[in-house]
Amino acid sequence: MKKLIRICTDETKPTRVIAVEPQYSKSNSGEVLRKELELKGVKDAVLAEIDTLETAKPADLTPEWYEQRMRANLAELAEKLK
Amino acid sequence: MHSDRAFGKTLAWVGICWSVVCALSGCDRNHAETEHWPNKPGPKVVVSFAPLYCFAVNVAGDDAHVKNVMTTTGPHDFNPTEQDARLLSQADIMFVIGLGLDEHIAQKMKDGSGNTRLRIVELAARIPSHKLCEGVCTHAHHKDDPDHKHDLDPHVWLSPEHAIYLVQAIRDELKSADPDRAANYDRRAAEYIAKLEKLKADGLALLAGKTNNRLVSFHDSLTYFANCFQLEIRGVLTQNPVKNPMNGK
Repeated sequence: MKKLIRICTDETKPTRVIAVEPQYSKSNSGEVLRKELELKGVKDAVLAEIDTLETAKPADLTPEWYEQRMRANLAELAEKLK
Repeated sequence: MHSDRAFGKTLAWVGICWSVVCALSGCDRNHAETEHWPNKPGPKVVVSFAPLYCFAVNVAGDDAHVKNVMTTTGPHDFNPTEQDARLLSQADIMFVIGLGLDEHIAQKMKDGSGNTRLRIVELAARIPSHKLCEGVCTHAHHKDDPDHKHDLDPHVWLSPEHAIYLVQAIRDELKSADPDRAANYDRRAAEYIAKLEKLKADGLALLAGKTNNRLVSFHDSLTYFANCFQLEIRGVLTQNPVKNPMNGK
């Protein structure tokens, strides 16, 4: 965790987007890092939900599913990256 | 009011009966839903998980039948059941990624199915080795060994560029299994590859102009995605997505 905080707060290469995966709890990981960064004065760190496409509900799994989920990931990053 | 109560009771009974049917039939939404195949010609194909289903079904069209094994549990956590093994009992080909991700699960399922003629195809074997990446290292115990090696990262499907190799491998396997319809597989694979190329181009255009393209990823899964879309992964929250990454805090 300390290493990640050091990485994110590195002034030469600041990192502000923390990718979380929809199938795992946000509170266990990315959100903890985001809050730790906030305590260190980094107010603009954000979570971006990126689906690694490892799971799919049977009802959602159409031939277009891969493209749709990939485009959703790209749109999420386009919104969260500065 | 009386009829409302009667309707409610009926609904409750339907629910109970459905639960009993599901329990008896081994119904589990984390796994493949049925081992039944349509009664028509064409290769019977099983894939390990969702992206491969999309790749295979786009190439197969109506000429082959494609079923997916893993649904709401992914390849990192999946334990096949008897029902999953039964799905393979009549299948001709099973497509997996390989690289340590899902080929062992597939072999276990094949052994359980009794289908000795089933062909398990590791699609990532078709990706040129120089395009494969090692997993990201965050292991503290390696700090005194800068030359240590890691397993190859299996998350190749997250790069459309790598996905094209997987689609080509699927096309070639289907052509080999069903040569009479080779032209159809060729045509559909070409159409789908064009879509994957557009996906990459659209993604690059969408992210162009970002002055900070750095991110921390949740698990060691986004290297190919980042390389494809010119992003930089600066750190990883957890090596094992099942474990709580904050345990070592």
